[in-house]
Amino acid sequence: MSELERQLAEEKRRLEKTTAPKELEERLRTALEKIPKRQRKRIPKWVSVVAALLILFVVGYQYDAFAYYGKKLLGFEEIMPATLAQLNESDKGQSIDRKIMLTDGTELRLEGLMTDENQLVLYYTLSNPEGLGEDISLMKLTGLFTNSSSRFGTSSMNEEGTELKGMQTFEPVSPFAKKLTLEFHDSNIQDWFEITFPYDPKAAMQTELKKAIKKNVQVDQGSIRFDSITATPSQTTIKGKLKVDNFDRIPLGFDGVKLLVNGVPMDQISGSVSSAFNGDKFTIDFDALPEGLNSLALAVDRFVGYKHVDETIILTSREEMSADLEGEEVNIRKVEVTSEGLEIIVATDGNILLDNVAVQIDDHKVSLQTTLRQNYITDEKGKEYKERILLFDTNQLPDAFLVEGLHYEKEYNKIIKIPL
Amino acid sequence: MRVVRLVKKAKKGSKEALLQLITEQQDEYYRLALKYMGNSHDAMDAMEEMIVSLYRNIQQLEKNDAFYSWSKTILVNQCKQMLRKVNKVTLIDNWEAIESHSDSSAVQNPFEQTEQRMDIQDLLLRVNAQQREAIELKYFHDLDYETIAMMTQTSIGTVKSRVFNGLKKMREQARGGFDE
Repeated sequence: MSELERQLAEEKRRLEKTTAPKELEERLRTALEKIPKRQRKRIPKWVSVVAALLILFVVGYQYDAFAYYGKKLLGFEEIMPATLAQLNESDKGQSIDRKIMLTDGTELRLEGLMTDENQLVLYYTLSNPEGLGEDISLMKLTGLFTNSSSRFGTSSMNEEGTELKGMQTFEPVSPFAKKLTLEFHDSNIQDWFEITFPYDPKAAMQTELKKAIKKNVQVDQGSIRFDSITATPSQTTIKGKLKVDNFDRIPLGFDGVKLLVNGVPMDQISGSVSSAFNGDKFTIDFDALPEGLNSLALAVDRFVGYKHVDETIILTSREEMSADLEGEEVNIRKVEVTSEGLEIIVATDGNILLDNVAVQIDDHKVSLQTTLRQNYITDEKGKEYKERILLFDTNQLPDAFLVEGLHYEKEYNKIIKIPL
Repeated sequence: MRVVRLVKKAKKGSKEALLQLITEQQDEYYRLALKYMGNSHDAMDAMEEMIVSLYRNIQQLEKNDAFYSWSKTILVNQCKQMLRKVNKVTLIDNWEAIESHSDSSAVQNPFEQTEQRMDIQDLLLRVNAQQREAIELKYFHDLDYETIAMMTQTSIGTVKSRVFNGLKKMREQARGGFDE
């Protein structure tokens, strides 16, 4: 080993004295917990090709997805959303009645399901006379041409803590699957389990409406493409593609996108985005369509926008002050130099992210180093603010606070009519 | 192998397994992020972004036993992306400024500074940014040429020659300070 390499090795040993801060693990854990459960990749392409060929060749096979099959699931009234409860009342469920004993003596019973082209809803009961721990996590359903990730679920426990009734929705399953396998994780015993049950695709509920939309809406930093609408008895799903650079800069998501049925907005159930090679794909779920449909339209009321402001806020005092950035209020709550550097506490509306922030000290500019903490607080008038501490690498008090632009919740008010 | 088992679990969606994989080498990840970001806050931010990205993309990892070099590559990319956002313009000069800044702030206790250490860090400042990056990744972060090539988006041959030429220049700069 040369002298230089020996010195490099020594330097390495010195650097290795730097260890990760204690809070790192907790921060990573929190970051992970915040992400929704992974949207699994869809069925691989060759499988869809094979499926398409099968459909072409198996002429004699009459796929009958339109038959109704009657069964009412009992005991789930409390956790059923209104639409599903109505479907259950009109006997649109199918019973499963399979059970599995987990190692800690808890019994999982799959009671029944409801399915259509938009989703599969599974109902289950956990029971243990000794008392139950945490609810299990239902991860996915697999079967022929089927690999459906879970979406969301709710459950409620009885007062004694011995029985839990739960409901979980999944991505739709293939009409070719005759058996489904549920994968789930029990955090109480830290273990994975599988249970397989028969499935009758003929009992799926009929799709009521399916239309291509194929319309683009331009927003400040990209465009939203609405591809299709599929309405089934359990919900209405809008699918499309998203190419918007600053989509995730504010937490708004698709909250400002509405489905207007006969001119009246429907309840939005959820919105999700999954990454794909050619841009992001999104799904927005709304409640099922009512009877007596006359008109259908999508309204992009509010969505993330961007405006260039290039604003200089002169910091005349260290007291609280507010500025108006082209109609958006920015409050500077505190300016102080701490052992960390210069800290400025800024509050804005929850859906505003300041872009390219800096401070002016004498004749030079110091860019933002990092944001330390961010809190959502509600003031006495009930208005919610986002407050954060901005840290700058300097120990001088600044003359001015500079903002180049704003990511914000913008009103677009665009309407796309869907011909019926 | 333990790592492979955890990677398989993580591929199935276990957040706990992924976290375990990272925390087992958290100091290595942290030092790598710190090298690029220059301060603890940003280094931890980069690691948060990394773990989110790992969770979303782990199914694209083909060789399960390559988890560590793959994930560290993602971390380095994440750091560079964050630096680009801060600086918008990424000229080599800026990189040098950022890196030299990071080198000095990586020193936690100024009393630990020795003459010799200043020598080696001083020498590192005299080679170009790409050579320095390659040397640091290899000698301080124990990464192999293949991983460094992925991280710096270049070929293995280029990485080798950057390390070789960089070391050569450092020896010359030492001007007989080392017995060669």
